[in-house]
Amino acid sequence: MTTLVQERKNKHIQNVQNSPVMTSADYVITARDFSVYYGEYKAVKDVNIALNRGKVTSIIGPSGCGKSTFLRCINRMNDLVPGCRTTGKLMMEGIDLYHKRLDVVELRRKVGMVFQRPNPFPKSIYDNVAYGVRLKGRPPQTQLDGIVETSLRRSGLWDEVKDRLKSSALGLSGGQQQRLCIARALAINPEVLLMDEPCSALDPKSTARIEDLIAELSGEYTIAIVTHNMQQAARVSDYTAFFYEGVLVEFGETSKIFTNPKNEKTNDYITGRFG
Amino acid sequence: MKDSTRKILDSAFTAFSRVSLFIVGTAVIGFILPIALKGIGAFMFTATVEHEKFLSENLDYSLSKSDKERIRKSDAARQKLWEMIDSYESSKDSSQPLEKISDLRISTFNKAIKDKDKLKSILSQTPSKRAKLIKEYAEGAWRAYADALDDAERGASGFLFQKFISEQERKLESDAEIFAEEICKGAKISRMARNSLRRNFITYPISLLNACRERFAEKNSAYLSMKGGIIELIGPRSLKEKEDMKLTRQKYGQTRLDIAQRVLSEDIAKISIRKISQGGIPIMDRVSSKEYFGNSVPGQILEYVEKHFDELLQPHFTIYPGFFTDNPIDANIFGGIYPMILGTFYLTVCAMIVAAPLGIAAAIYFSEYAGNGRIANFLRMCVGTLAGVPSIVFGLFGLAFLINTIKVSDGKSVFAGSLTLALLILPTIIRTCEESLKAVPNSYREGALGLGAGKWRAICGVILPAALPSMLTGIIISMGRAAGETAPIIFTAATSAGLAIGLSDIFTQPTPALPWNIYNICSEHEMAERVGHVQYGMALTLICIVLFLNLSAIFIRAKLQNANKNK
Repeated sequence: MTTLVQERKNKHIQNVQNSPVMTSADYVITARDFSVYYGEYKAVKDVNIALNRGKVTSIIGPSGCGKSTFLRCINRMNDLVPGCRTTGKLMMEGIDLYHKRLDVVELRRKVGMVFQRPNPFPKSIYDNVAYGVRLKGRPPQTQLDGIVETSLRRSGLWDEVKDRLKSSALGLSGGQQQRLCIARALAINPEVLLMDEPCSALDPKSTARIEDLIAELSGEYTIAIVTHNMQQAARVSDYTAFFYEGVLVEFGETSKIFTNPKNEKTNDYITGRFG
Repeated sequence: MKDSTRKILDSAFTAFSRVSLFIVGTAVIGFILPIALKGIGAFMFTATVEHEKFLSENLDYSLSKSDKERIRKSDAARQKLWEMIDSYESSKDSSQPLEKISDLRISTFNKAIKDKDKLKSILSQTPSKRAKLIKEYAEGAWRAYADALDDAERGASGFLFQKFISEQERKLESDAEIFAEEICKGAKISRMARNSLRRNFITYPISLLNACRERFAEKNSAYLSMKGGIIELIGPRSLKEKEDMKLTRQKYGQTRLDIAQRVLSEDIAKISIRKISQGGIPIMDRVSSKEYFGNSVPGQILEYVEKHFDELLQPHFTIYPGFFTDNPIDANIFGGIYPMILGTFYLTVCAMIVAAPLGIAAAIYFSEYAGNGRIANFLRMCVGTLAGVPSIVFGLFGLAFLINTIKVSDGKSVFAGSLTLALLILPTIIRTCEESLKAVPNSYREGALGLGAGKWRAICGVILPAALPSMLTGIIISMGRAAGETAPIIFTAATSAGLAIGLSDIFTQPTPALPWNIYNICSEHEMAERVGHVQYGMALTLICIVLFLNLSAIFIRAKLQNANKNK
């Protein structure tokens, strides 16, 4: 995060921090009374949460409970939705993500995102991975090759595609495409990785690969994953947040939430009584 | 609904759609096929020897050995024809009876002088009785003359006889003068009586000659009409006559066999003759030459032309690729359509250069920036309205605004026409490009933005490339529309006659262009029926250009989409 601060300083943006640093260095993302509105509709209601550095946090809850909306606020993807506005504070390492002078483009380079449906660009596999890197400048070819290889290795795709890097990414299978999207996000070296139901469009085998991948990446990246699959949440995450009708009902260590939930609604949800 | 009813309705609908497809298919084939067949005839046809003559003398084509051989053969056949015509026009075979007529004239006068006393007694009668008596006497006196004239007319052949008739008339007048002097010499006869004698004595032969002349004028006009047809068919006789002709079409015969045959059947086998109607007004009448001339010399000439038609013209199949690369000569009767093709090319490409960037930019604005606000929707409505404006209105706008108001050029120019065409196709381009951009999945935008791309870089790097195939398709199809539009260029760029212009002239010069010249050559051309092959050739060329553009649009789309899928 220091680089983000430094870069912003370089851009002569001052007085960015209006509010005091509230959290310890262990927390990357903190939300305080954070609400999201779509027009008049309040989709996320006064959420207070803190995501731990280097941990995997899963966000669960029934459809329409605001978990995706919350996730997409972290890299300001909701800006694309007309009529979306927020109240409260959403901070990343002490920086207000909704400050009006925040460089959104810079934020998104720090907070990578993987979407529900694999969305590789209609370009070659190589160009897909290199896309984010090239946005920032033109590194030498050898360095770019290195970045592409490392990213693909990390996402476990390298061995499958190393012979056809120049062929179109649309020719890959769904699971491969999703791992390519992860590699693409990793190539620009973000600090936080947001995953919006990354396995919902994939078969069980590909899902297992992605879950393994998440486990490998945890520790290095702070990961937030939205999922409908409770087993998945239990398997991959360190912390779990349960959203219900826009309200954060319960947040805590995954083992505790799944074995001994404090809230009755949480209990009902994870035991499958509704949702 | 019952199951059986549904099945019947289903099959009825299927049958209906198949029938309509069939009708559309046959309509397209029935429409394109005749144009294609006739259009191909513009550059693959049975040519006559005149075709090669024209090409070698006007467009620097070289004559092959077989061409020279053909010209030699046709010249030999023509030589005989010209000899026949010559001998007819200067025929002397009727000179013998003509001399006899002259002799008879003199002897008739002499005889009458011998009857001096009788005539004198007639002249002493009252004026009305006098004239009547003179006429009666004259009819008797001139009988031999009239018979000889009849004989001569039967054997006479035109020019010389006509000349002779005029001469006889003149001589009759002067002889009558002398004759009247002679009769009245020494006698006391009034001036009036003498004049009466002079006039009335020759009334009968003069009327005979007049009738004769009229008959000959008709015969002559018939002959000249046929001769004109022959010259139209095979061209003028000598180099000198050729040089005297002003128009190229008069310097050569028919270059195409089909038109040559038409000339033979319409202008040679049928002739116009000048007849005097009952009211005394000359009228033109068309009759069959064969029936009219019968076995006379012109009839023989006609027979010769019909019999030796192939030798005179040496028809042979030829391919004339110059139709697409040569300039037209003498209002498209000769040569090719190169300037029209080039003009269409200039207009279309220039229109594209102007319209494509503007259209793409506007489409990007509408699809990526404008959203659904009130102003954006108003602008969209404006674009839609613009798309519905009739093309002739665009043409008028081009003239009134581009040329007359802001003066992009002094008059019609390729540039002004291109701008007008660009305006015409702009709405279509905006529409198709906007639709293509909207069809790009939103996940591409999210993906690009999520990787830290700015809006502009997401558009350039991901969205535009993804939308490119269908955008190109729309643009190329608009190009086809621009190539075929007539109305916008009438006032702004098109000229009916003209040569190919250079690239540097597009800002100042108008140009011929296919759509306009098709109209022009079909409806404004003075010899429209003689350039039918050019009309169809142009139509086919235009159809091919548009078809080529549309096919290449399909091809490019398929290619780009494949490239995206399995690069």
